[in-house]
Amino acid sequence: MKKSKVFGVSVNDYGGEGIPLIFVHSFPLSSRMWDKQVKYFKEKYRVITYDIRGLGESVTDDNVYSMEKLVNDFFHILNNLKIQKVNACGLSMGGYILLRAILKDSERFNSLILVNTKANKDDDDVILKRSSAVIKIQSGGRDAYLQKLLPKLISNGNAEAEQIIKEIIAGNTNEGICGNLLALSTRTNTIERLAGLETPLMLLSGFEDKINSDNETKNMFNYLKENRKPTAYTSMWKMKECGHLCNLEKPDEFNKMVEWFLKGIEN
Amino acid sequence: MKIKKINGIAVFDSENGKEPLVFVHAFPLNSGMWDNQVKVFSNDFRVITYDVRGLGESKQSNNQFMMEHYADDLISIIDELKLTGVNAVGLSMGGYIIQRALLKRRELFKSVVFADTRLDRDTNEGLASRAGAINKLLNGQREEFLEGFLVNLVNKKNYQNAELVTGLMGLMSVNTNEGIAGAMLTLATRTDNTDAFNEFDLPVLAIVGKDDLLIPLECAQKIKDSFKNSEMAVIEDSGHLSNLENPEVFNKHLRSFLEKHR
Repeated sequence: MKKSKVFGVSVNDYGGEGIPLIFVHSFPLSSRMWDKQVKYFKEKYRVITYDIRGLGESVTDDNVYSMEKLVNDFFHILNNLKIQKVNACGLSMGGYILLRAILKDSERFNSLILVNTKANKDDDDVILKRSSAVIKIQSGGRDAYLQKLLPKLISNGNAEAEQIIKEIIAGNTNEGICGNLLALSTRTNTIERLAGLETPLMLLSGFEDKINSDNETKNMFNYLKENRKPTAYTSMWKMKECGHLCNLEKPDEFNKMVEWFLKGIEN
Repeated sequence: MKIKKINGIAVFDSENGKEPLVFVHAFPLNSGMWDNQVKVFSNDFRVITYDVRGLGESKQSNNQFMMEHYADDLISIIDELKLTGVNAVGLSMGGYIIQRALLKRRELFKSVVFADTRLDRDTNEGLASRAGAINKLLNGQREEFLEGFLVNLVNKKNYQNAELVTGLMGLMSVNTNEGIAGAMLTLATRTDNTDAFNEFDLPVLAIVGKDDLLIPLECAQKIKDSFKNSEMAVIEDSGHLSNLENPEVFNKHLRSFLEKHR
């Protein structure tokens, strides 16, 4: 594995041939959440992961940035690794980044996998929730905030996944977490323009996702089915007994679905 | 004016025991933009201005804010100074701040003047363009950013007014890049207040510069339509900074509004 830094962003390139498979992680974690995907896919694809600005090993000193900056980081990574096209998979915030990215330059995408993500921007309630989270963290309430967040990230009783998440979050700074909460508030609506693209798409959702309800994914899927060209491939898979972080809770099923989708679009 | 610090915010208070009149400034300036109003109104009002968190003399080491921080600051100033029946005047960003504070604690306010401001959120394009602006600021292109911004702050004719433009540059020059970038991002975290005020019956005056390039006339009209008890004034010979570009007319409208509801 080759590590590099692109404008402060820490990138892991596991090497290999063909169209790379890049994974973009969710809030407030790091690329480590993809460990089980890296292990499974690295013999089959050129796998790339990275830590979003402010998180993991991408601790940056520019603590105010918008979603657009995170999208620009994604393209800087591709350019730096001299990658023209990718298969990209993003979970939640990772999905938001990829949604904006594909609208900016769909030519760079061979396919897109969106996991427990949504295409609508924050409504007012969500912005106010993010504000109170930032204010809480800044005034010494980090632990209380994370204690409330943690049970929402996974379904009940998955101790192994919970332990991994705890470890990852512990490595992130308050500034990095708040910086990403700010960036999340600056998302835009993407669904209409997404429907106009012909890139093969797969939507994955956890039935018991407490952050991004399973209905969000269903609504997205229905909208895309109705509004995309009939030739544009859109598939959806729902994972039972699974919360927000499907890839950590049910890695085998998750990996198989991703592989099935990637094989499918090759043929 | 007495200077006080309230939760890290620099507050300027005329402390004369009269009816409170609070001014909230625009991006990326500071409380100094209200000098023309402070002079005229502090004889018969308790005039209070302050530097928004991160700007002017309210510099912070961490500039990660959301609009909610700004609203909470205004509320804590009012609470800390034990003001009641506040008349609040906000221009542009100042107007956004007052909107949120009004939604959180409407009982604090007696009347509001919204100058060159709007109720709705950033558009998709607006949200996307903020990243470029922040990048410019934090990557050594401060002058380019500020000059580009200044062209749109005042109308064409007033842009030729060297004294006005130098004054504005002076107001900006005391702000740090980090403070301006923080405020820039905060502006993107607004809520959409288009339909939030239909039940509010406090007196409201919507002011707009006739040649405002940043926030068009319709936005003032929407504010007027949104509040039950409201009026509107269009300021001639003025762009976005109506209180600075045409202070006489701005003050005249402000005066007659305040007197009417005294």
